[in-house]
Amino acid sequence: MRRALLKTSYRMLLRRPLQSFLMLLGVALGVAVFIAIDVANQSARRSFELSTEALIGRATHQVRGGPTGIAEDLYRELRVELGFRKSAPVVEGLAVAVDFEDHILQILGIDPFAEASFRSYLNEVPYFQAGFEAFYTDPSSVIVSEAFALRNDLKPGDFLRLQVNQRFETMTILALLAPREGELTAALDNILLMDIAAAQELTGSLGRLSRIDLILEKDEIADLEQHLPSGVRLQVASEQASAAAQLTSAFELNLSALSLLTLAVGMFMIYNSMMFSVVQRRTSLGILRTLGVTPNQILGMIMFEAGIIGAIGSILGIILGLRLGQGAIQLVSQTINDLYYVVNVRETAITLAVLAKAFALGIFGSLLAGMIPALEAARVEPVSALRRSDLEQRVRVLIPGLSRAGIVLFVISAILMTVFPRWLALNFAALFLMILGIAFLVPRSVIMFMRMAQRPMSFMFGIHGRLAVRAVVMGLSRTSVAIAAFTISLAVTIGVSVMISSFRSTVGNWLETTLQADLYVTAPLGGGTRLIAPLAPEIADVFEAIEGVQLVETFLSVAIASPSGPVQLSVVDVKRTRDPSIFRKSNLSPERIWDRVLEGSVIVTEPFAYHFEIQPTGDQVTLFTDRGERSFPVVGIYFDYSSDRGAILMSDQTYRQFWDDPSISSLSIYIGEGEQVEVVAGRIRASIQGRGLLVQENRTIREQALAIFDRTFAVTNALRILTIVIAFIGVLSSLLALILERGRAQATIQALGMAPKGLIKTMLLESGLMGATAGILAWPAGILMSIMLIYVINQRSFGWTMDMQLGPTPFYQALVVGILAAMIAAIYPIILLLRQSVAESLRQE
Amino acid sequence: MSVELIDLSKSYRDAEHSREVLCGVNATIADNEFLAIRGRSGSGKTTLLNLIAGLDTPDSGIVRIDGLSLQKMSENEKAAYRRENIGFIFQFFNLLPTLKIIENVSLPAELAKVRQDEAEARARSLLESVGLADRANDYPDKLSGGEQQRVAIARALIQSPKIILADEPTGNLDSVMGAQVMELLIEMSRARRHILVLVTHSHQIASKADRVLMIKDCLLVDDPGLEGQLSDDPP
Ligand SMILES: Nc1ncnc2c1ncn2[C@@H]1O[C@H](COP(=O)(O)OP(=O)(O)OP(=O)(O)O)[C@@H](O)[C@H]1O
Ligand SMILES: [Mg+2]
Repeated sequence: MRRALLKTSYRMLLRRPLQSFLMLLGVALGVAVFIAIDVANQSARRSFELSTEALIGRATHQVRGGPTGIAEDLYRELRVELGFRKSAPVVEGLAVAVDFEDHILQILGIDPFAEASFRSYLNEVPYFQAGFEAFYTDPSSVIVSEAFALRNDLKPGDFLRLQVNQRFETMTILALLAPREGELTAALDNILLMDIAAAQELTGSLGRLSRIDLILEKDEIADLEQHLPSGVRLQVASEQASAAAQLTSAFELNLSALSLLTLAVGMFMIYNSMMFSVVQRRTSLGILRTLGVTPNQILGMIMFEAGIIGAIGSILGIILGLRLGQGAIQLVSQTINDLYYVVNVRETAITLAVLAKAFALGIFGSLLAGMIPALEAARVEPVSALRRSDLEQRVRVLIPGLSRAGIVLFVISAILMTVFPRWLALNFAALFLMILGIAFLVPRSVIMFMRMAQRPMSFMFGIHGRLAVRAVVMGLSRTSVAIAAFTISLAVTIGVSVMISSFRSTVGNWLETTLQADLYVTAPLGGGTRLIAPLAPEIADVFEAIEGVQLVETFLSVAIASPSGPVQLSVVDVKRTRDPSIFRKSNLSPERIWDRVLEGSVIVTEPFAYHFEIQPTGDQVTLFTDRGERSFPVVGIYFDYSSDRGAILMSDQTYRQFWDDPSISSLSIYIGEGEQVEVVAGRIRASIQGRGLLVQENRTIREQALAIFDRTFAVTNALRILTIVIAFIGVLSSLLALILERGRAQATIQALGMAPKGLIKTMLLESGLMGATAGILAWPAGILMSIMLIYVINQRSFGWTMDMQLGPTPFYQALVVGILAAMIAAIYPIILLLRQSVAESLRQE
Repeated sequence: MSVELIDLSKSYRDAEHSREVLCGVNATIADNEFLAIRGRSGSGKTTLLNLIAGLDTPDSGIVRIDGLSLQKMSENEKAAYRRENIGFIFQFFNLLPTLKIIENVSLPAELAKVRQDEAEARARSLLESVGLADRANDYPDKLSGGEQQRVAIARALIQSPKIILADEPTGNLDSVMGAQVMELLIEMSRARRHILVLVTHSHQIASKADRVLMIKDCLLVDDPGLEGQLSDDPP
């Protein structure tokens, strides 16, 4: 018996190949998007972890200092006098291989004699063999990874031109590093290995170390800590990596949520198609029941079908997702590079766990979607098999309950958001509940809409218009699900567009108010990332002397350790008052704030205040300074959209007082009245020729910042489009179902004299009406969605406030897309319908 | 208006066998004629009506209406021809479940671009004459078989078509009900001077026709049963 049932299922799926295919496509696309995003996130994270791990090696602890590192004497003291033998000095830095498309290399200066216990792959280098003396004696000797060399067609003996800080140096490749452990290949891809002394010279940090790596036993820790001078700390080695990984977690969560949404839209589609196949088989189901098949067996049979669709769809989705993943990795790692840290993804992290998760999700989603149709099928009575009209009747009865449930979901969603403001995942859950709530309100709204549309449609299109309205209402159980899925995807589009454009205009305004200077001078390294090589401080004086320059302000962005991990510090010597509108919150007047900042207080960015729950009055931030741990009072919170981890702003005086670091990372130049920007810029460029510095007008910086902004939302945009594609498939499959179902009625109408062109007209009107309904319902839903995204999701993910900008464009776009997409979806069903012989359709019962 | 059937052939094929349903049917139906068609189940009666209505295409042969060949018309033209000239009453009622009774009846008029209020006025008066005026706003599934068929008759008559094709309109009704419906149909089409082509199994009904033809071995022939009956009955 069971086998016979399974065979029935199997036949069913094959008999309607197009329907089955569309269902598979729905699952597959959903799963694919999920996998692609997951793989991209994981790959970026994994390669970052690998490279951090590779650099940390087997060290358990690290001794670190301030931004300028630690004195190398400390190393000698620890190793020789205090007897910490398992210790190794490290000098780190960044260099640009100028001949190779801005390739950023990571300088790693080591002492081969101390390395043995730390980084095993480094022991593969034949430091102590004959012919390798140059490593120690020639400061221009470097070792690069074999992968890097292969890619750029380099071999030992070749020259490598580098820019480090403001200098250009030509190095000689001494050997290639080819780690035996495969995983390390990618991690060490951009390494530039040097002798420690040479690295100090190259990075301009003579006598300083970036850190000392240590392998410590538990009992040694306290002992060592005692001997550290102030401003130098002992850190657990792994903390570094996890702190960095934390940075991107909100970004990743946002992408994952959006990818899950695509899957959810896919589920609507499965629900709809399964429901259709159940209704269609009511007679055979009834017959099966008379033959003694139990309701449970029927239930099992339908669930089995859903499972099969889910399984095959998931497999297809995995295959597709791995392909999409490559593209997603590009987009995601670009954004991570722009906003967070340098990551060089060379390998795709595809773990069994990811695949299993996606597979399970696809099947689970399909089963969930198939549950109601399966229960419906199990209700079929032996004699009077379920009729379409019964179903419609029941749906009609269900509507008030559905609408109430929708309201309840809204309430739960609101409660979740208010009660757990800091639990990001729950806020996303709230977003999903809200979306589901919207879906539940759709049937009610469709009826209302059709009631309103009746007259105008009849007036404009006569009987065709009326038939179209009628068809939407009478097929409510099917049309409303398709409309709901479509509404949601259009609402997501509206929501995301409004969010992005609000965000963009907020950032644009902010750039306008903050970028007040006429010219900015930076080292080119780093592009959009925060890794900016320091400039020599004297350079400010050089510029001040240039004709036409009125004022030069310095700026330094530096990562500083704090008890709660590394934080970004912005150091400015404010010579000009800033636009008071950059302050978000403070009890002081803007002038007072600057006075206080000059006196040693700090202000923090909005995201910083959000993440560390800082109030603008009374709170303090604690930092590890070169003079030891110090607390700085916070006197205000300011708007800043440059980084979502946030930053602390401190005056130049204060910084120089607590840190022995003279460096600056950029200069803002104000030119005198009546001067021409291009002319002054030309003079400045002439004065710094050959130093590898970038002189940019504020317009250029603004454009670059917005370009990064747009890149950041590339994935979001791609996902948004995919969601529409899936909803489009959903509309297509429900139109197909509706047509197949209506075969005889349609043939009757044709027999009564409706011409093929009338039929085309009616069908287009019907689908257009569905699209228009979805498009219009998407308006309130989209506004709700954008409010959620702007004031809840984004605010709580990143801590940014933005001004909501409601332009008409996304709204009429949604309407046009809705109508057009639905009409396009109708084309194939119409062709099918026209191909059917009227006589034949009339014969069918 | 006249209908000419010239050498009409139609066969159905599937993978294994081909089945000739009509193999060279010739007939002329005169203006105002009431023609009854009989034949065993599966003999091709519905097929023939479909051909006359342009719902199906013959393998060969021509259906000519007032000298115009249906086979030369486009689908859109055939639809217009049906709209203006044909009233079809189906074997299985075929009322549209999504439309109210009144809408079902007025549909052909509206497809012919008659204004909605006028179409509904006509439908109302037709419903009156088939005795269903009070059910105008019900949906078809609320009606009995006989009632549904009366709605179908009203629907077929609304455009005052020249030709009414009725495919066993009483086949699914019991005899009393069937007789009533049939009376109604014949009476109404006589009154309006339509061609009536009626498919039926019943001698009794056929006897009311001007002429009775029978499909036998894929040909349309004079009905011997009818002749026998005529000769039996006293004039
Ligand atoms: N689309 C089709 N494919 C195959 N065979 C068909 C098709 N349509 C009709 N037939 C066959 O053609 C024959 C004639 O069918 P038709 O419907 O015209 O018969 P009928 O005389 O109306 O019968 P009934 O009195 O039972 O309604 C039947 O044997 C039927 O099986
Ligand atoms: Mg028949």
